[in-house]
Amino acid sequence: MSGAASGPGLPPPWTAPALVAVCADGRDLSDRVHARFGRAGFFQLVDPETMAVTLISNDENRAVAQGAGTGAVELLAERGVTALIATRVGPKAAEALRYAAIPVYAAADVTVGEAVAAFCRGGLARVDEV
Amino acid sequence: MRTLVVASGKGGTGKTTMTAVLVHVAAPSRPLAVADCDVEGSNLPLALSVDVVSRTAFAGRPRAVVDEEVCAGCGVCLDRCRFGALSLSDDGLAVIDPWLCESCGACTWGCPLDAISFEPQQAGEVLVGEGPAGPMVFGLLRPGEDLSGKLVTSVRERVAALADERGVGLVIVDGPPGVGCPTIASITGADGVLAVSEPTLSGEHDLRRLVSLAHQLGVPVKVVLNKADLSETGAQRIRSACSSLGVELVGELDFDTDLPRALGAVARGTRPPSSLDSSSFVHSVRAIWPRVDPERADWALPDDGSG
Amino acid sequence: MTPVTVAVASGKGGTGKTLVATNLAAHVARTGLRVTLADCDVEAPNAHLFFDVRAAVAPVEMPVPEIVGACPARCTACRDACRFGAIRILGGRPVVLPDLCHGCGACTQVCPSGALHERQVAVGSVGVGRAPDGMRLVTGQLHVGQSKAPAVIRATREHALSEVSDVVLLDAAPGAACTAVAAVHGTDFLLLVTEPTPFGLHDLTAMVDLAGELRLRAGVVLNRVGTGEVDIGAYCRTAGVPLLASLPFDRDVAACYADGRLLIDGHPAGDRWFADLWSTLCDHLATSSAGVPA
Repeated sequence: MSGAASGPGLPPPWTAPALVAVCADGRDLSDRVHARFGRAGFFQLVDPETMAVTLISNDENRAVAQGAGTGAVELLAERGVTALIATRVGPKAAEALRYAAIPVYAAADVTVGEAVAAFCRGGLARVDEV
Repeated sequence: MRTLVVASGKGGTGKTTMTAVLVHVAAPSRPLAVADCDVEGSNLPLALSVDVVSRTAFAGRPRAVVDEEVCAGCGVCLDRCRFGALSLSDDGLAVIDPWLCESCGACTWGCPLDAISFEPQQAGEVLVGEGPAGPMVFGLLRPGEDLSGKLVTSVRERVAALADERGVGLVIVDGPPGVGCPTIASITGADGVLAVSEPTLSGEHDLRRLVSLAHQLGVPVKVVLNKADLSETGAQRIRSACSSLGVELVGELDFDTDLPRALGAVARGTRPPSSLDSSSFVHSVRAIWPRVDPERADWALPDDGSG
Repeated sequence: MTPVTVAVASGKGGTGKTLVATNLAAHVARTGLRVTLADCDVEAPNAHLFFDVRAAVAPVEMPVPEIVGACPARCTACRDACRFGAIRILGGRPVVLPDLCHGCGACTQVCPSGALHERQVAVGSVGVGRAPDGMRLVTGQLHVGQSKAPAVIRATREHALSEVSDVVLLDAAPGAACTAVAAVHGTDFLLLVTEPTPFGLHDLTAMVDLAGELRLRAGVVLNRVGTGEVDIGAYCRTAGVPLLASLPFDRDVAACYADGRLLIDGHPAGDRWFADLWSTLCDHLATSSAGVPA
């Protein structure tokens, strides 16, 4: 298994200080990437330079009757997130992510750590481009 | 964890019966969990035996209420409401028709006396049951409620959590009919959709809409044609539709009017599960299962980019 | 003159709701009455498959806000007013997400700066046409991927009720949720189509409860007699809802439906079944405030 962003090769696919949000099953890099976005209980915010993880709660959005997905996007935008890794996001959240200029990268059946490492290598496909 | 959703663009194609038979066919070989996301007409619990072990209230959108002590009957709210939900009663006070109200709050912003407020209300329940095949989660929506999409999401979250807890690798979901919000909520993030179709013009029309929606959401579709023997021209229509849509037709099943009764008898415990094996419908489903099983079969989107 | 309005609904899909609505509408049209059939099952409109109708199609539009002016710094009034999450602060300014908007106008009401303006966005369509026997068909269709079915249903109803008719039949969406309510609310009579199976009975019960809550007069049409052994008649007697008609299931019925033909044209007994249903329905309408259409 290659280390995160340690190898030579292509420059990473971001320009601003990166902060990657990941929908995850649990609270650690060893937990798996999860499909649910808008009504996720929390997000892992991963700094790909240091692989440090910050958790942010999404409780306020998951509880609302309508508009959970766009509320989650607003939350990520406020926190300065530059990319989102998810199995998939719903059509409405995808639209909000486009407005927030947060690209979405697909990962499934991998851990958060593996997904962020693959993202740094440019190895994840963007899923929000037409 | 893999999720297979049994869906149909059109109601009445035999979706719930198909789900129940798939569970019967898949269950002996490995643990699984089942969810009924047809929350407006949750019938799977009638076809699979299940004991409800927990019920959780599902909160709906808040309900607008007029404080009759405060309302002066000025009627400003009537102009602000675009859904025709407000009128003045015989006493000259504002009244809200809950069936027309969308809980948008436009009336509250217009009211000079702050006489309209919102209070929480229950819109349904999420139920967890235990059956011989494993846990089953289903939702019950109160008649006339919207937010079926959100309830579906709650059901799917609950079943995913249960599957995780118990190390279950496969979730079979009975999806809603149609292509609206509950269907979007049911199939988003699933590994595959098994579309149950029927050999009619309507069946073809609705199948095309379902496939288009699933491909938009990036979920691959396979089709099973039910009641194939009712119309050869209709069956031919579905076969052509599948090939033009680039989706696999995994099998054709004959109309079986006895099966729902047989399933019901097994669910009530008056007949053993093995009694189903004499049904040719069950036999056919067993034959197509390897091509549908999301843990074994190849599920891919058509590569022509039609999605 | 106000037309008599009859909604055809069903707690579950596939019970034959469209079959009943289309055949009943065509039968009544042939008796010489002016009939409008409104297909309010906008997620899966199928009534048009049974008629040779060329429809004039109009878009169904909904007002959606857009930001056209300069917003005051850090103003979040529109976001705070929106109960649907359709306005979010992204990149430091409000952004409108039209898919979530219900068109309620709360945001434009609270905007302090006049920066919000409403434009019309298409969420579906309504087609209006006339069948050879004179029946008018109004078809609502939701654009795939859209979730604003109630808006399209409201528009379909308005179009149908604006036609000059003696009878308006509304084919409602299956289920007992908001989409069904949008079609059946305020009609003179509710025809509930069901089948003699455990699923059929379960879903009929939900519809009878809904009719009670909406204070609608209702009657049951039992379809597919012979495909199950649940005693719907016994339920109807207990629940105090009249059983208006029983339609058998046979291969001829299935073949007619599969090929998009009306039973009253393609089945030997079809015309009699729907003549009987209409006459029974008229008996019930006669005792209501709606009266018998003439």
